[in-house]
Amino acid sequence: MKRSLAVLLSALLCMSAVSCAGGNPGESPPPSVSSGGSPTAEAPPSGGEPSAPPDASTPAAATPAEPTATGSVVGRYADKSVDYFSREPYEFVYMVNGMLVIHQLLGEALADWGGRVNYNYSEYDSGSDMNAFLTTMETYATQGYDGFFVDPDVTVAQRTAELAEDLGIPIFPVLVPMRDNDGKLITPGLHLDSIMVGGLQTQWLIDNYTNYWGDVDPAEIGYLFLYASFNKNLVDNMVGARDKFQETWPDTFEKNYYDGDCLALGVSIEAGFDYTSSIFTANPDVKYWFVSSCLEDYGQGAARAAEDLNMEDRVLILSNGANTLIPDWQGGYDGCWVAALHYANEIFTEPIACGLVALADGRAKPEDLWPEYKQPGEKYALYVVPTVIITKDTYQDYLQYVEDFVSGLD
Amino acid sequence: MENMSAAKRLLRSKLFSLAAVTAVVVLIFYLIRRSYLGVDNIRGILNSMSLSGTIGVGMACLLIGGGVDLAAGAEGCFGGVMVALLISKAGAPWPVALVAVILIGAAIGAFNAFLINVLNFMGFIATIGVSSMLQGIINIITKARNISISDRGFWSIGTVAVANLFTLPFMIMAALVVVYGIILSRTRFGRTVYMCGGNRRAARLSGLNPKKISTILYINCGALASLGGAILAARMHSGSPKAVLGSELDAITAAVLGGVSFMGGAGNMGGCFIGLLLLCSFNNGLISVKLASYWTIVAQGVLLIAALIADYFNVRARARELKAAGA
Repeated sequence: MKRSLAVLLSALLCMSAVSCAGGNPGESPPPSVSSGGSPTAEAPPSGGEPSAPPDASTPAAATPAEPTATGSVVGRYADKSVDYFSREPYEFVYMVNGMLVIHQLLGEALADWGGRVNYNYSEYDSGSDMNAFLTTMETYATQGYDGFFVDPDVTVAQRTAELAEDLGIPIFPVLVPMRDNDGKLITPGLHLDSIMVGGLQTQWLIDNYTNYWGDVDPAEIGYLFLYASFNKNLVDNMVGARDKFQETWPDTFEKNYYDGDCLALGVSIEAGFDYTSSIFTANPDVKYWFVSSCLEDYGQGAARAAEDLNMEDRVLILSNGANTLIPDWQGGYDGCWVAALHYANEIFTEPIACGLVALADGRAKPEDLWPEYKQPGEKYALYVVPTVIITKDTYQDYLQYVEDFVSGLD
Repeated sequence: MENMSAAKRLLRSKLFSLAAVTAVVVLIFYLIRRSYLGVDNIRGILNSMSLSGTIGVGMACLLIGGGVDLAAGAEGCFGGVMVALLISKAGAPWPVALVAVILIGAAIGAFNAFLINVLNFMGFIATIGVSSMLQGIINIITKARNISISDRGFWSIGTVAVANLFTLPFMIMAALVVVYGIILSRTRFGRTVYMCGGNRRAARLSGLNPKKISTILYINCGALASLGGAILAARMHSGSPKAVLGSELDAITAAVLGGVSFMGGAGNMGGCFIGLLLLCSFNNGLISVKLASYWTIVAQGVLLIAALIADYFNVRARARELKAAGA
């Protein structure tokens, strides 16, 4: 019996190992979870979109979330011509095909926006059952719902959009833009330009390291970028960071760049800790370290690893996401985790909430929203989520900016 | 003659084979990268053993006793989050918080035991259900965010080290291995665990109470998982709703590598410890030699399969010996 079990288990492990090995990081990217609520969206198109400069000293200036200066205000909260409370509240539902933490966090922000632009918010999770997702859309339609925030499986995005059109109910994707089989947008959407964001992370470290270490020779600096290759957006984040490092310091890239794919360790603080610790101790010849991460948990783990190895004065860490770091700063933290690329969920969800209301109002057709964000050859706009790099000295300005952005418009 | 046969027994023992494999793995990585056996890296390896090891002690006892707790990771996660909430939000002194989360973990273990021993649910299914429930609760109470801990006294649990090598989390884990090793091998209770795990029916017919033993083991597993989660929270300065999840699989892998039978009734703490050391040394080495992560996963699978194959041949050889002795 034991022998049979051993053989069976071995065979199963072989199969799972092979299937793991056969995975392609570029295939079927699931919605990603940026630690603590930093959403990452689909792979970016070519550059040129309005985006945030990595100027930590002026965070508010780095957030082009106010469209009034150059762009359309239709479908944005800045459109003061709309009286949201002159009608009955809409009934909107956020339909998700497999609820993750990030969906919950964005859902909270969408629910908050409901109070400002007058809709009742509810959630539905199909538990990865796309058939249930589609049939429930029909059920909601018969119950009189006015609009759908959606995050369907990418493979049935087109069918979801078609069904919504048949039902005559507007939809708006939240985390991942919806595209047809040719890769063209089939609704307006939002995204983070992951490659650009990675470049910003590296650029900030390069621009600011002398403030922490003085005039250090770049040849003495190693760069570890922590990510997980199961998701294309996270890989793109790494690619942007890596390429910027190579472009800026080509002479040191070959020797000093360390690819930190934590796939085998999972997505957790401890994974960041173990990976960073292993790389630091395996390369004692590297005197200084930049560590950047696509997820906040990895950054936090790297910070703990640097502390554990008493390397705090030789390490600079910049994470993507600051939901843990901000409370740490508020609690007096002043260690080597010095900066984070960040954006508030309120900022991320504002165009989504206001865009869907504009569609439900009939004030705009999907193709009319935010023409300044349309890429050549696309029918719909792909809004670029503004990001900013914050530090211990600037995060309060950013929080104030978010508060002003939200409350000032109430 | 007796000495020779003892040496022979040692050479043929599973523990020795495993230790030899571990030594070979360490040597290979050392030859590839000399810094592999540096103090800092050894400290890193030992550190990485602490969480899976703490959970693994409870898990190994449970496996030997014929059970399994697939909620151990979620229990650890819950422990880490609860200790963070108690310290940071409720203002509890950290020792009180630590004791409280161990008790909470024990209570969750008791709930598992209730489902399995009273309602007669299958262990796999019941603990998967509890795991799912706990993960949901964790996300609700944390709103899916990390809970920072600013109590430096609590941090010290994760940072204190002897000779800059043996961190407190590792020493706690090592102490647990020793204590539970003695309990399993030297006490009546320990023998009862093996009997219940090896043949539950025979144990019952011989007057033992397998359900009682199973209940104790589930409570113990829950308490240790929660302790492991709390220690990780001390190391990371926060309770994370994503931490520890999945560590139960590492613990099970280490236990199986170390010779604990998935069918119950066999294995020991020494084997688990070396199995865990092998696993963590291997993972650390793969990172330090910059092996692509997909190959890392393949390599981890190959390691486990190799251990199972070695175990298979070992069992077959023993069976032949027994057969020959019988003839």
